[in-house]
Amino acid sequence: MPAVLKGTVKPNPSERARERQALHELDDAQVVQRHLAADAQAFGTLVDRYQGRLLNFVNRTIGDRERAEDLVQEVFVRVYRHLHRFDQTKKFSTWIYTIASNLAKNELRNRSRNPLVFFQTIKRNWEADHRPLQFEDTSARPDDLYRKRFLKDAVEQCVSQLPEHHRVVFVLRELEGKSYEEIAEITGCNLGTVKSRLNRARNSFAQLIEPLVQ
Amino acid sequence: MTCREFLARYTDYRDGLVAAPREARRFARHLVTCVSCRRYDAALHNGVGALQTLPGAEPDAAFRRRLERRLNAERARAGRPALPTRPAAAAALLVAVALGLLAWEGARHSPTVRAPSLPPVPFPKPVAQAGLPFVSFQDPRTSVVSGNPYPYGTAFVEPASAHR
Repeated sequence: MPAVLKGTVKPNPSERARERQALHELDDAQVVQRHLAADAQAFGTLVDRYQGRLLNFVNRTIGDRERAEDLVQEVFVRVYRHLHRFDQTKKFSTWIYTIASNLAKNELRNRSRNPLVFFQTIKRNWEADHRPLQFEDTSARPDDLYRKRFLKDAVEQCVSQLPEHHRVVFVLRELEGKSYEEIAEITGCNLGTVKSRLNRARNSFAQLIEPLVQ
Repeated sequence: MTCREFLARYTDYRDGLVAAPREARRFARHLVTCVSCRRYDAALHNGVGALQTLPGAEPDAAFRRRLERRLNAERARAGRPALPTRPAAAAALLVAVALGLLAWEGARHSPTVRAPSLPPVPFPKPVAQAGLPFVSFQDPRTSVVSGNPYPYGTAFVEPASAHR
């Protein structure tokens, strides 16, 4: 009896590559449906699509690359576990970012268990939300060639200096391109809060980055 | 437009949410006339641009291997009957222990020893006897010292009609 009919022949590698390519051309909703229909490669497509983006998002939120990788893995495990219960009328990207945001938030909350750290975080966040919006004219500052040479680290550092609740909104909007509604759903805030935090985040970022990008 | 208003509403302007043409012109005019706000807009535009052009952090091969191991464990776990969650397991355990205790208590007690049943005894019928009632009293002259077993005295009194 031919091995093909016995079902013992493994798929041709080129066939697998073609299937993978076909999956990459589908949108998220279609890939999710293929996974739920027991397509073995479908979930890998979702991982390929989101692992980098989620890693950048979580890394910028918590500021720890190694821990960010652990959290992103946890995101995918949870998605795998609960994908059968995902409401397919909603956007998959919003759902997966919500999981990532919650894990990052929990990570930051666990770090601030120290009462002093917790108090300092609360104080810093309050000040960031209530100080007047302003922008200083820094044309009189001397050039800092060292900082301009290492723009990458400096720009990343400017983002890391933002308060956490501003940073999340800033990264989701400016780097991930999420809409206000999506950001509100991901962070669990209302639209007004999203706009307010985004405005303040931009204000803070502009003050920090201005000397470096003249 | 003042700088304060410009900064307060900048997010709407930057994200293209200023729909009214007149309002959009106000923003544009302020940018032309105000050096500080113009620098602000430029700083944000250039800063975000620099951030967006930075290469994103891509996970390495070890990341994917670790993830595959965890997903394989998840698949294996999904193939087995689901383990009960902690609250359900605790409740089930409690019920099982309670039932077990009840069963054990029932088995532990020895069966009740029943006394042999006695044959039925007819209830004695009262017999009415004629005659005078008998009252007995000890002689009050008897002494306690002499060892009278009834130190508080008893008296034997015969009715007067006894000697007739």
